[in-house]
Amino acid sequence: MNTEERGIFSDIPNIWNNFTETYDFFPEIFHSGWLVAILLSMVGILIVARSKVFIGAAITQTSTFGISIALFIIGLEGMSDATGQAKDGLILFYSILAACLCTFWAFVNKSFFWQLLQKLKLPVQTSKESNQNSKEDVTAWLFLLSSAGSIVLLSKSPIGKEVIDKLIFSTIIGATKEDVNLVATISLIGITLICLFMDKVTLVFTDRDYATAIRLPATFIEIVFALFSGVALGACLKISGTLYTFGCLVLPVLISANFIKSTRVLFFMAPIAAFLFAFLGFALGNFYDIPQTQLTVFCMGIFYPISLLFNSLFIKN
Amino acid sequence: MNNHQISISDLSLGYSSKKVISQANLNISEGDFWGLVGPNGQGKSTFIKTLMGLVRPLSGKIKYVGLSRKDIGYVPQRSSVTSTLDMTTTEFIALSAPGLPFSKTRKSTITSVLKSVWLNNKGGRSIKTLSGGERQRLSIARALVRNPKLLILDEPDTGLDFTSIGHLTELLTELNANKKITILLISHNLHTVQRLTSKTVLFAHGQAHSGATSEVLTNEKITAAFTNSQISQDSVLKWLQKEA
Repeated sequence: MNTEERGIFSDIPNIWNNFTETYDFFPEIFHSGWLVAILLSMVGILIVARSKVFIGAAITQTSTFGISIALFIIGLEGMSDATGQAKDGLILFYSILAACLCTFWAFVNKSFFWQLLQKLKLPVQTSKESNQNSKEDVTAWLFLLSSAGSIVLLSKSPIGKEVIDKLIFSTIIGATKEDVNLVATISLIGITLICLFMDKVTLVFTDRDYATAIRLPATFIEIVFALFSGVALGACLKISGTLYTFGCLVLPVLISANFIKSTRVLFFMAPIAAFLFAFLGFALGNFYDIPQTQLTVFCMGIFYPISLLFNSLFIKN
Repeated sequence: MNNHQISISDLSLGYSSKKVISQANLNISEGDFWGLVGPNGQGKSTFIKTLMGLVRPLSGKIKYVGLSRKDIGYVPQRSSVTSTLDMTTTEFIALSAPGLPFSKTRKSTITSVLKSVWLNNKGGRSIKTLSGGERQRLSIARALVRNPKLLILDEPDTGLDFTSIGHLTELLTELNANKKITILLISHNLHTVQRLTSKTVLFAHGQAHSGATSEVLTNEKITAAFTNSQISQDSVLKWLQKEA
């Protein structure tokens, strides 16, 4: 063990040199990976605040299904001759659309949908009970249907299947400058929204009843979040795949929450933690030739129980 | 002379497809301490939501004199703090008052409301480390930071032990007597309502019967109201046994 430890520590200068060399050649890969981690950790705070961690997995899987539908349509429409940009646009659109449908279902109060249906004069009856039902069953159904559907739909398309395999494998190799710009733009919008409305959003997501009672526009805030998180998740999934997306969505938040008592501080801590883990995962993965996204999620996964231990020893009391 | 008052006349409440209460009449004056009792599903929550302006009445009028809906403080049920994320007591209070997190008087305001609910030694503590009773008093502190003239509490004693209920009733009495805050208390604990309130509304069978607590909480009326009601039967039976 000592030999191995000495090996890792003596490798540090080499790891750094190797990282800087590769970084110069493929900056887009590193930038997109780090930005995806930062963006998703911000979104993840509110998902964890609503205790809907597993819904995050269902959303990423549904988004994969959306990409699968896009690839299926490309095959049907004979778009194989279309430009890469047009195909990319269609794939991104379906990925975001599928994610948005999920986030609207998961985070917007159902009374909004009832009121909307009633305004459209559809014969629906308001159901108070349906709001209180657990969403676990639908979450599981979404997860399974999307997982199976994305493979079944493209089983006759070798190219399409390869894309889906790549997404499930969660590789970030091939990220472009456009991807970096897209995630950077969404992140900037996210940071601006957090700076402006952090307290209101936190209250709506931690205590909706009270937020409504003091006249915060809870449903409006939920709609904006559903839209924003749908766009963020859809875009990040297309760039980095399901494992990395889901991992960065929840693990940095769960880890950071074990070190602090304040939800407001979490909005700063979680993105910092996400960046540090992504930096470590990408640098080590690059040097030891291990898939970087998997290594990042693995490092976070290993660190989570350590953070739990720290919490029970030093924070709780 | 009363400084503020809420007059409710011929009020019918419910949702588009279902009427919950018909023709309710009530006058809530400054310094009143009202109890709202009745089986679940009989309109207590709809009534307070309507008072807060969150639900529109089907018919009838609510007239606010000397206060607006912003002067109403609300303490939801314990279960409303559902987040898995932790929060400090200070943050919990600060979040509810717009502008407070960045104001110069933030610290002193929060210290003052924590003191008013006897939690002055809990500033900056994690809310997860507080007992059920302390969390409930913290919820009251959160409502008090907005300087309410009327405080509505939705089943604050649910799940609390005997000592915590004692602290809570003592606190509510003090807020009502010394700070002149008008209080509406929803509770299934008829003993608490009987001990604390001077007036009571009994919600049952689509009607809201209001009057002096001693006149409303009679064996006859309570038995009639809770017949066929599964929920809160235990607490009601205990109360009836004691009264008998």
